[in-house]
Parts: sequence; C-alpha cells; structure tokens
Amino acid sequence: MKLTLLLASWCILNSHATFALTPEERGLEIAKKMEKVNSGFIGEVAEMTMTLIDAYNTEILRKMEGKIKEVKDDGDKSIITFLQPNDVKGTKMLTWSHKTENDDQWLYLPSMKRVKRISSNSKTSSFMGSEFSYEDLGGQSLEKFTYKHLRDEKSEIGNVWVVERYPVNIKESGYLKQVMWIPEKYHASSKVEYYDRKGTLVKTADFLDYQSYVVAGKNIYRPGKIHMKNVQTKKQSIFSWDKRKLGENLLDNHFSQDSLK
Amino acid sequence: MAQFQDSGELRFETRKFKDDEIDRTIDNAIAVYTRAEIKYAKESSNATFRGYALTDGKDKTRDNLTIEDLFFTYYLKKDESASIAAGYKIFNWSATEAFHPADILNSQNYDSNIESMDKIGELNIDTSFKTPYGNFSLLYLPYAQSPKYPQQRSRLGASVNLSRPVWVTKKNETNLQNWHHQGAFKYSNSIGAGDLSLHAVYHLNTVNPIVGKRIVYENILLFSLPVGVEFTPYYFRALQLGGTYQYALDGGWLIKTETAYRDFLDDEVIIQTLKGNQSPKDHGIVAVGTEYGFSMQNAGESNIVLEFQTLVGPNKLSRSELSVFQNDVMLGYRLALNDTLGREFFASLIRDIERQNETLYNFNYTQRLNDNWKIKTGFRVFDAPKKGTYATGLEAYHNAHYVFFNLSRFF
Repeated sequence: MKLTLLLASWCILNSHATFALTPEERGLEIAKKMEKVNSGFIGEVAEMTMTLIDAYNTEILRKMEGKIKEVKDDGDKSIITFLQPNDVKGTKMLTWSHKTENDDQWLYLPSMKRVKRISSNSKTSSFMGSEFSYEDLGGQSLEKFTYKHLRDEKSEIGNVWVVERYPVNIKESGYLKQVMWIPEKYHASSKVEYYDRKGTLVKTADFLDYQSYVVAGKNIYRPGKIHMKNVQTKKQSIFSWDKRKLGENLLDNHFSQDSLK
Repeated sequence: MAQFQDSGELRFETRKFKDDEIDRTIDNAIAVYTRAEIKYAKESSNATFRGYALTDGKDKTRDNLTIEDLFFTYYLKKDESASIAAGYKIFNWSATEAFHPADILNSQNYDSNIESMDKIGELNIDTSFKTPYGNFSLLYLPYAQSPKYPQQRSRLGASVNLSRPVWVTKKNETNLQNWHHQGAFKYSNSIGAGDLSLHAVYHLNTVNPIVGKRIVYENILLFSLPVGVEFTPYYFRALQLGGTYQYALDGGWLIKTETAYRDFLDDEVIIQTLKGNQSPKDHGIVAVGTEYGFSMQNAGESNIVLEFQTLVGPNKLSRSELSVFQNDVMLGYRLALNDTLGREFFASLIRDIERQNETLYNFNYTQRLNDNWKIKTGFRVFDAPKKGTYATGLEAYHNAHYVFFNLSRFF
C-alpha cells in the first residue's frame, strides 16, 4: 500500500512538473526539440527559385544556388550564388552564422573580383526585391530568440504547436514577434506570421510541400517552398527548392573568402 | 563532376565632356564594350577566362582588348587546401572603397575611374595553402605588365602621348623588356569579426612612375635639330610591405584600413622631367575608413562611407606627385532600394585636405530594365584649377567634367 502511494505521489509530482512548465519554458522546450530533430543534415545543396508576384499578379523569377554546411556547436556556414537576373550572375554571399553573436557575412562582387565584408545590420532589408528579408532567410538559431507556447491545435497531420518567438536583439530585427505553427510531425514551421515592431501583422509565410530526407538513418523534413504574402502591400514571393540533397559532405574550404573568387 | 559557367556583357557607352574648346581633344565618346567570362571546373582542377574589348567610334586610341583572367588551377590536395595556379589573373587585395594602397599587383587602365581603376591581368604562378592558421600565397610574376594610359586626344589623360615604358631594373640599368623576376607573398586570415591580410611584394612598381622628358633631334641638312619632345614613363624596382584589416562592429559599423610602405631599390637614379630632375621616393600610405549600413523602412538599405588617405615621408610637393589622393578624404552615400528593378543611387566626393580647391564629385544611378538589360547613368565633376606651371595631382583632370549613359545587355 505504501509502495502504491509512493508511486502515485511520484507520478503526480512528475506530471505536475510537466504541467508546471510556464508557456515560456514550454516554448523553449519545443524550440529545442525542433533544433535537435533538424540537426544532423551534415550538408545541403539545392537550386533555388524565387518568384516575385506584384499586386497585379505580374511574376518575375530570380534563381540561385545554395550550399549549407552544418557546424557543430555554432551556426551553419552557407553560400548563395546568384544566377539570375543576369547582371548579378556570379555574385556570391558567404555567411558564417553564429548562435549568439552577429553573423559574419561577405559579398563577392565578380565585376571587381572583390570579396567585401558586409555588416549584418541590414537584416531587415529586402532580399533581391522580394517579400523575404535577409532576416527571414538567415540563421534562425535557438539562442537568438525567446519563446512562448500559446496553444496546441489539431490538424490532418496531427498535433500542431503554436509558439510565439521574440528576437533577443530587438534593435537589429524588423519584427516584434513571430507566431509559428509547428506540426509535431515535421518539427518545423508550416506557417509563420510576422509582426512589425509596432505589433502590426505585416507578412504571413506558408511552408509547403514538406519532403522527408534520410540522413544517416534519421528522417529530416524540409519544405519544398515558402509562400510569403505581404498583407499590407498585397505583394507575394515564393521561394522554392529543386534538386535538394541533404547529407552532402561539403569541403570546409569551400566556405572561405578565398573560395568565393 | 564537371561544371561549366559562362556570363557576358555587351555595353553601349556614351560620355559627353564639358567642351574644353581645344580641337585636338575629343569631347564625346561613343563606345561598345564587350566582356566574356567562362569557368570550367572539375574535381581537382579548374580553368577561368575573363576578358573585355572596347572600341570607340571617335577615339581609336581608346580601343583595347584586355585579358583579365586566363588561368588554370590544380588542387594539390583533395580538401583543396593546397593549390597551384598559372596564367593571367586579376587580384583584388583592397579593403577600402576609394583608396587602395595595398592593392598593388595589377597594372591599371587609366581610362577609367581613378578611385577604382580597371585592371589588367598579370601573368603569374600562384601557390596557395589554406591552414587553420590562415591562408598563405606565394606568387611568382615573370612579366611586368605596362599600364594603359589615355592618349593625347583623351580628356582623361595628360594631353601627351607617352612612348614605350622603360623599366629600371638596376642602378642606371634600363631596358624595354617586360620580362623580369618579380614575386609576392600574402597571408590572410579571418579572426573573429575581423579580416586581416599582410603582404610583401618585390616588383616593378607601375603605380608611381616618373615621366621623363627627352628632346628628340633629327638630322636636317647636316645639322641635328630638335624636332619635338618625347615623354617616357620610367618604372622602378620596389619592395612593398603592407596589409589590410576590416572589422565589423556591433550595430552596423565596419572599420577598414589599408597600409603600404614602398621602398624603391634604385632611388639614386635621376630622371629628367618637365619639372626638373627626379628620383623615386620611398613613402608610406595609410588609408582608414568606416562604413555604416542600415535598413530603410521601405525594405531598401543605405550605406555611408567615410575614408581618409594620407601619404607619409616625402615633402608636400613630392607627395602630390606620387598620388592624386595624397591627403584626401572621401564621403560616399549609397542607397539601394532593393526593388525588382534593383534601383541604386551612389554619390561621393573626394576632397584634398592638403591642397586647396581639389575636389572630385561623382554621382551615378543604376537600374534594371528587365532581367537582361540595365542602365547606368551619372556624372563626374573634377574641380581642381591649376595652381602652378604644371598640373599636379587632380589638376590634370580639371574641367574634364562629363555625363555618361551606359546601356548593358547581360548574358
């Protein structure tokens, strides 16, 4: 009897410990899970297309090639090579993202054969005239945000966590907060709402066509496209990935300034 | 797997100078510029070609065909940490926007913007090593490439035709040959938020020539009579030690610096010039600057650039003869709207803070017309009235103001 009581007390205490998580702790817990599930991709290569759609539904295409190398205990290293429009063909952007510090970024300008260090202060600027900002596409490390779990929702693919996140360095962000819908199946966002510094909704992004990639026996999900809609200007941009490969062993030397030339 | 990349540009250029009321010079230029770039890469090697051709409808002396890159690279290690490359190559060792004392390896085409001149590919063998302690490059340069100078009819030149350059390779030993032993060493590393590079270059310096004057005589009726004056650029052996450093501060600020010390090895050689006898002068150059970038509310971005360069060592007159920017400050502002047309404005001024009334104003605007076509237009104003008998520094460009319009088709 004593043993039963003891077990019951332990169970109650234990369940109480889970329920006792504050929304902030629960949000952080989900963010940690997301990071853990999405890590281990080693390296990623893809061709990317960005479709810019104005308020009159006129479409313009931008093409890029991307490589990402996973770095243990720090942010990832990435290179984007611009392929279209033709005047920026060959321009490359190298980013060494960091968990807490500002990212290091360099731009290679082929006309001058110059590698220029750039400030990561312009994160809120538009990326190639699209509705995406550099901030939307840059490193999303766990440590750069604080979190708050709002609620759980049910969907066709199971449980969905709804979590708000707030940039730690508010001065360098264009957003006051982002609200994320995170299906438990993917451990990655299916929808994000972006609120400007005044708290007004400016953009929504739908993360679509999730695909599963197996890397070292682990399932990692990646969206096939992100559809960003600016609710204020009615402009839209669709960022899509083709020929994506995960688990690529990319040379560390490819992610240096000298390799850009 | 083999990879092939190509790109190109066909550009129609027009520029209209302020009329100088001199019949000899050409105040309008209409030119066609074409550039091609091809890259081929395999697992352990790659090859690159890049070059351009320019033909001017009015001033045939501007016509030129320039090889910028034509080199082959072979990786000595699978992780590409060691490589050897040979061929013609353009190097860019610069950190600052307007002043480039460290960027010394390539000869330049002076028929371009003096703060960012077009370069000519330099023949070299480059051995590079990437290590955890930084990147090391060792270069051998067997051929001293002559710069390209605007000729007598150009508004951007010294109003004289320069004869074939003379290379001073030893004390009082000159020759017209371009083949000389030259070498360079470079170390670079990224440490935290900073990028450091150090270099040592032994070469024939083409940035600080002395233009010699020689009276040309001809035998006429048994008499040797002066018939003209010939101007010849003399280039001297120099050892340059220098480096660059860039550091990204929190809050969008970048700090940049470039330094160089040029030690001329034959500084006892005397050349007769229009201004009297001259010898190459050892000197140091320091350029420092800052750049601040910030986002605009309309998703655009702006950059403000402030740079200063000073030349140390020689006296004031010698300084002004060694560099157009011997003691100058540059203020620039760039506004990129980051829209689908890629509209961008850039305005700058470079002002001499040692010599009075020497300012260069520059403004340009670029935008795409569609995915293939782009325009660039703007103007440059050279305000530097001549103060002595001969034009020095920016004075050579005084009143060579011009407006330009370029239409480019990219491939």
